[in-house]
Amino acid sequence: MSDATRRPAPETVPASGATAGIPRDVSLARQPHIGRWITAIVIIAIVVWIVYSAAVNPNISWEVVGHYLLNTNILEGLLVTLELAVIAQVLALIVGLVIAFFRLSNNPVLQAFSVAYLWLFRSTPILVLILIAGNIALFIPRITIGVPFTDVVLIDANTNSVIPAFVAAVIALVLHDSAYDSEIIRSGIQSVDTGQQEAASALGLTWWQSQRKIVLPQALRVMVPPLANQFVTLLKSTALVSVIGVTDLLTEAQNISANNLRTIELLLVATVWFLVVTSLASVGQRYLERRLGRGNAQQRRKTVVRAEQA
Amino acid sequence: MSVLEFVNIHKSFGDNEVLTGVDLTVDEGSVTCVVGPSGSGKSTLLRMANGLTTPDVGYVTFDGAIVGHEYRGGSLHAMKRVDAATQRRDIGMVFQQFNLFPHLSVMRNLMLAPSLFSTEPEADRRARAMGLLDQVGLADKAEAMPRTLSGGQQQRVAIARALMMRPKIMLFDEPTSALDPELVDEVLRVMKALAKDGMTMVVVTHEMGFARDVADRVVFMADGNIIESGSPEEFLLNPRTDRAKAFLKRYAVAGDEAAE
Repeated sequence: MSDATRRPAPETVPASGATAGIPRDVSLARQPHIGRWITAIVIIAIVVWIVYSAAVNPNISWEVVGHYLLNTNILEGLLVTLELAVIAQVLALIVGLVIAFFRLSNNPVLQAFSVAYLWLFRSTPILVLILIAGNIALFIPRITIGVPFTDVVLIDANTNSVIPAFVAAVIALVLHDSAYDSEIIRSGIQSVDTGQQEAASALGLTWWQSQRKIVLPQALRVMVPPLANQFVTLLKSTALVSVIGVTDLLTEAQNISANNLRTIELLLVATVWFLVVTSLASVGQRYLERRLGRGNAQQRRKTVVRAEQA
Repeated sequence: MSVLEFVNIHKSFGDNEVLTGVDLTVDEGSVTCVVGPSGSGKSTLLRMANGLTTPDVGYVTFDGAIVGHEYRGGSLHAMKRVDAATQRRDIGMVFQQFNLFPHLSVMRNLMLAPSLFSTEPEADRRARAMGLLDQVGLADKAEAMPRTLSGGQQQRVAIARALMMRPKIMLFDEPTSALDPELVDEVLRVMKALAKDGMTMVVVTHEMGFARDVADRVVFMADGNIIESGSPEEFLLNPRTDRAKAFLKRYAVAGDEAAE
């Protein structure tokens, strides 16, 4: 077996010395990169032109943008947006984890449930989900929970009072996002070698212990980049909840512009805040990736050094 | 006294029948080497000893209890997963691919399982881990990450990790098959020392030299069953069946390998 790998490499080095006229210490020529320069000039020109025309456009008043950036209503809207995104993301991760485990289980009922869940909530546009959740009182006007076969009623309430717009928005976002998250989590779990689970089992770890201590920590490294991406998508999807009257960032911006008619300026205010929050999320992602990958990067370097020393 | 017993083990994967009614008894303190051509069902049989694989027909008993099942009303019922996990804690297993946990240091690989189950004080546990690492010659690698170790070192860590659970028996599934030839001996040395200490061992291996030097019994499997079994001298020098003779001709022959 090992004979094949140990056979000496065939002699490829020519027997004679330097070719006539080429010095032995010849090095790589500097390349001019003319194309690169031209591209850079064109792109810079376009960007400058866009920024300039926006800056001098008489229809956009930048003072108004600056003025409303720290407006109390805008900041309150921003807080609602962040709450929505964070709460929905946390719940979506939990639901997504459960759905992913269902999909990976040997139980055909759980598998089918997870496939159906994924199919339903990945196929429905998020805006439709938000509208349905927000208007749920139209077809379930009252929520009644009682003890079966008795007249005892535990809860009987107006649906709108149990599920205010904010909760409806969270439900819609979680249903949508958990479907996507579950696929990310499943692929992460499946990227971990089955030998890891076997070794954990052989040591006597229970299924959940081996998931928690062995499989998920390794899966996380694979999962972080797509999950971060998904979080940014979710963050932006929160803007859609304005259709059911949740007072998020965009709704607040539109409420203000409805009064002062500065539509573009207030949309720009919302845009600036989305840029800020998304940038912060990206920083968080990079931090997480580095933290999870740090040990491994170092190890890879050490392995290379070891190999070179050998 | 027998500690591990395989009774009439049948197993098929789809249409492929890999075990056809295997019976095998392993005595306490003995070393059993299971040899045979690939595809003979050796590894499948070994994995049944701790329930990683389940027989279709037949059962395995360990320490008097059926592995992974309970006998009730004329048939076998799967144990609760928690009980099956508890049962495995007494059975150490070493894999061909080592299967160290790559995200944990060597020390944490050793400490993980005991820290979940035992009430042993942390300091004692750590001392025991250091002792075992010393025993396998890797005391200086306690804080290393698995990826930085050679295959032979990783496998020695895997052995130490299994020993941390104070198992009553150790199962080895081709422990040296994934190693570069020059790294095989360091692992076999550790296994020999373990055998000398009286550990009950079942070793699936292609290392005939190890079988000759250490085994109390060699079991030869082919086509899903045990064809021959006996002392290493009997089997290696005077195989009775043609299958065994052909197999031994292909794999290293006893006597021409340097003994430890």
